Amino acid sequence: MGERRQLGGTALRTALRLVSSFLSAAALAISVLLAAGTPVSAAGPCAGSGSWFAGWYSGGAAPAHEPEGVKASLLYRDGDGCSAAVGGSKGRGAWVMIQGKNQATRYVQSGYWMFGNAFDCWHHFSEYNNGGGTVAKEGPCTNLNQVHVPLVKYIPNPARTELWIDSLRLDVMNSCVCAFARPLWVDYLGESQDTHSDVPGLSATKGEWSSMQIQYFTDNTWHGTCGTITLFKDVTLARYAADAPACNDTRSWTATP
Amino acid sequence: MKIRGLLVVLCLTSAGCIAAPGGSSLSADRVDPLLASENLGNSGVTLDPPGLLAPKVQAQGAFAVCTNGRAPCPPTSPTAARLAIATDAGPGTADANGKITLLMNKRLVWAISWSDIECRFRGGGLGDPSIPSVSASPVSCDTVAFVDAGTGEFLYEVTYERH
Repeated sequence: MGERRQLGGTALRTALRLVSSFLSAAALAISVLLAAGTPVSAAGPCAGSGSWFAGWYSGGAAPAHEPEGVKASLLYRDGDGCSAAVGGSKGRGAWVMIQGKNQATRYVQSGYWMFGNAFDCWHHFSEYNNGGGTVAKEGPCTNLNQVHVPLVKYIPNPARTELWIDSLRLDVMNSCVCAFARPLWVDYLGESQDTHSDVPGLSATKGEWSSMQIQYFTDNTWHGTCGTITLFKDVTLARYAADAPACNDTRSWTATP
Repeated sequence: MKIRGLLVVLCLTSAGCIAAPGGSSLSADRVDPLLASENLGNSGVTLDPPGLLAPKVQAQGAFAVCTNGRAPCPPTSPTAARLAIATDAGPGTADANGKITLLMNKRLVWAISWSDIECRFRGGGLGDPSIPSVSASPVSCDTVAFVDAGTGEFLYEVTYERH
């Protein structure tokens, strides 16, 4: 009996030591996580899903200046996500896009994104929908506070639209954006898929699209946005903000994180 | 990225814990070579059987890209990891002269897939600017991450609608 009690006691002590070790390790890990920067957002718990934007878009252009391609030097910035962002439609990021006039489901875009779940990272992406369904390609993880060049360009022969980040071609849409509703629009936008998440950028560290260009439908070549298209501000949540230091330089950010 | 690594270390040092944080793991019974050619929806990706080609990196090693901060993976456990010869005429890198080298041109890869999951798309284009845009979301999607079976390098990941 004594031996059995001793064994039982040893087993109990061993179990307690294991539990104690685990709890200590967990406490250590939590303190390290807090010191390293927690993934839980200051933006709060998630609310309703949708799409909210901050930035600029062209609501049409003179026929000679109608865009079929778009690019910019995009400064990648951080943006908090809501604290239960584990699903598919809780992301945030920023991008450039060609879209059909007033058409939410005819578009071609590239930029950077974070879905927000535990296995995610800030990364380059491309996405399009030409009416045949949406296709998205997610590239490797990337660092923030760097400038990259997202680019959507039309190649006339054979007709296709290519989606790029810097020297990485992420995808090719084997059709022309000419079938979208006309005149085509371009967008330079930050986006969040939850009202409690932030579009990238803060007041002191704004997200920025500079050296903005469009590719003319008429000549397939690149032109600056100054004097060619009219850009309109699009801010769909009061916490977000956008401005335009120049006609080829726009910014967006979360004003009230 | 750093945080995920710390959690994995904690998980591995805790008795009986073999899953990554969030419970995502790749079961051995979901690892197979591809047996027949297939096109992945409308994504432009074609997979062919690997024949007798053998991977230098095993499936579990390839799946590590999801937990070590190299790839943006879905939060759930993969449906399958299939060894395949993959081709996609889209993704590639351009050199200084503009010459493009495709990322997957008959490349031996692990195609790690999540089938019939919530679609991971952006919000689409703007509609009426006064109304937040919500695209007509498809019911479900397939996501496939491609990892070089020789080096373990993450190439890219595709998501497309199920039809």
